Amino acid sequence: MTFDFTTAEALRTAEASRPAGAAEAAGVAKAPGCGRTNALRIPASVESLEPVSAFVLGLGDRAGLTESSLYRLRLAADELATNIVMHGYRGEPGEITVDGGIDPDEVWVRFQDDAPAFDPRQGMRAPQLDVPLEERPIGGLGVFLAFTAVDTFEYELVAGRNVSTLVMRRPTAD
Amino acid sequence: MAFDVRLRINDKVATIELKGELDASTAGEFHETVGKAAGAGAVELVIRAEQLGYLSSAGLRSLVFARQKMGDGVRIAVVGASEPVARTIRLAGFDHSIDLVDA
Amino acid sequence: MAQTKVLILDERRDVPPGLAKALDAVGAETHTCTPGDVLAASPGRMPAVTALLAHATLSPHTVRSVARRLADEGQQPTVVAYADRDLHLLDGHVRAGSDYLIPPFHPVLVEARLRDCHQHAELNRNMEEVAAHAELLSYERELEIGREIQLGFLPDALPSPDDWHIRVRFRPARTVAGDFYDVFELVNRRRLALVVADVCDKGVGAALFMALIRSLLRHTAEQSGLQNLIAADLMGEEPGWAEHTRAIPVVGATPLLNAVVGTNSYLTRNHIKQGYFATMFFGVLDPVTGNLVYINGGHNPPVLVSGSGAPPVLLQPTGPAVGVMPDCTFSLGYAQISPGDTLFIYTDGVTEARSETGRFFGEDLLLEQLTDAAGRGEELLDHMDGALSEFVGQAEQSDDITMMAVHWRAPAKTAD
Repeated sequence: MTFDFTTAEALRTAEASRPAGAAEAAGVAKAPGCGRTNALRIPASVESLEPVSAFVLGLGDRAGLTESSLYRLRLAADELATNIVMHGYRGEPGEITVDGGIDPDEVWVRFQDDAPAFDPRQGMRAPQLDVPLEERPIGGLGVFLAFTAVDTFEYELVAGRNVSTLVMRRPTAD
Repeated sequence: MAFDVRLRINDKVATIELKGELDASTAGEFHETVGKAAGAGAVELVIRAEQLGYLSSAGLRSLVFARQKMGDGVRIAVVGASEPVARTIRLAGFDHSIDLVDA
Repeated sequence: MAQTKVLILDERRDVPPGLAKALDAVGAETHTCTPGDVLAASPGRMPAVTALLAHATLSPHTVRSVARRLADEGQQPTVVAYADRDLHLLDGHVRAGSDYLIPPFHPVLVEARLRDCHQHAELNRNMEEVAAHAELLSYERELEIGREIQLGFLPDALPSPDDWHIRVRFRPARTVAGDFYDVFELVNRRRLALVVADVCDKGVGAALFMALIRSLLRHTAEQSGLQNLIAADLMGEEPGWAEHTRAIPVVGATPLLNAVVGTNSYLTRNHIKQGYFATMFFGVLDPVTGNLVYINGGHNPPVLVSGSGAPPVLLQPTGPAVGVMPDCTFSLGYAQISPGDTLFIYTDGVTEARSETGRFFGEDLLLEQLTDAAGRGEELLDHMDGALSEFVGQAEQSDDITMMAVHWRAPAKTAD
């Protein structure tokens, strides 16, 4: 059983950020597996980080994630979205499509954007613990946090679009 | 998800109190406050994080900035961070330079 | 062991009971402070301690800041991190070089650890000295590399046109120098460029500018030399013939002017803030005729020593030092070298060499020595070297020394 729904807030944001009728053309991807699907289309700007967080928190909450898993999924999503805004589009106007779904054993959140091809994992750097904080390169930390926060982090270039998917396992129902 | 940052400076201790969620959209405000605290000539920067619900790498960036700006003789402590916030700080290895103190 | 004085560092001034008891049992005098207490303490208000026991929840950075603060007071306590529960917190401290204490805090163990720490500290101090020495060595190694790079900017071999004898002595005061010299062929090997220059200052900065100025001069001279020849050819003139009749070596003058004026404007346009400039003598010699056209940019006047006993001629400056003033005028100087003559070009390291009593070698003594010298090429340099080292004695060489001797061999006397 699959049914789509969009939160009111997400819908508003999406409506405001794209010309009417472009919805189908953008081709919000189909959800992997079965389960609930949500979609959110937002302009690539820091103001969009809040709706992304709200979206992910809502999804994870419905999936019954533990508080800690929920926090980490949101952290990963926030870092990924920040990365797309700051490094993907580099401050140029653009759009991010976020969708997500709940499968029996996991929750997934997927980001799609049309920024130049950019595998976020390329920029990832584990913190250099031996280097004093004040001398460390700060870049790549966000992706590192995202990567270590979730169970799976996938990136694909699909027909020129960047597609990153975060997956968090759901607690096993006994 | 409001964010609020307050700075108090008394004697040699600068205290920054954080409330709400610190991400890329709110980090600018924190960054500015850190800059002010750093300029105040304190020997200690205490960041009260009891009411900080969320911290992303954008917030960590400002902690690095604080470390750079305040010089070696200054101690920086994050007090009362929740477990997930403390985990993020530790994961990034910032606990080598910044004290994580229970409230 | 003398009484151990211990400073315990903890956010709440809490000491694990076991540790407190053990320290008490070994008769240690203990003070308990927060990091803030130490960092904010007025100078002289901290107790003198031999060990700093820091709770592992404090970051290594904070512990180091506290240790530094104590070091400012002349204290060098051994740093020991301790943990009562979360032993993993010790990782960062141990990696940062601290010693550690973990439960159970048995008095004998604690005492032994404090004693070990004391010895470790001694060892560490020795190691630090070794490390500092090693760092110095690596610095010297880099300087050595700098020196080798710089040597690459000096000519490998000097050209030696028929009957000419060109020799150089180059002795930097430090590993890298601000002086340089260059000799290269111009205008299809029909002219010879002779350069001796002194970049103000010594050491690495001067060496960088030496490399820049040398390259600018040589590049510009070589490029414009050819153009000049082509231009002369196009005008249907036979340049060699024209020069001989006019006795003014115009062919060499263009590359010379271009090189010096171009370098001066490049330096004043791009590097005036760094404040580097160079005094230089740049001569262009026609080895066939002995005609010399030159620019002396604020440089010590080279000396043309006659082979026939005539008094020496000084080639005085024809313009300011290069790199000081934009749009200044450099005039050309001319001199005629005859067979048997020697042109001696040098840097102020020669005339400003000091004796042990602080006297300068000076131009008078230089001229005296030059006219006295019997030899002309290599022998002349040997002679000057000898005169200089005799004058300087044990005093340290304070400036780079460069000397170039350009000698035109007199025709061999016929047997009869």
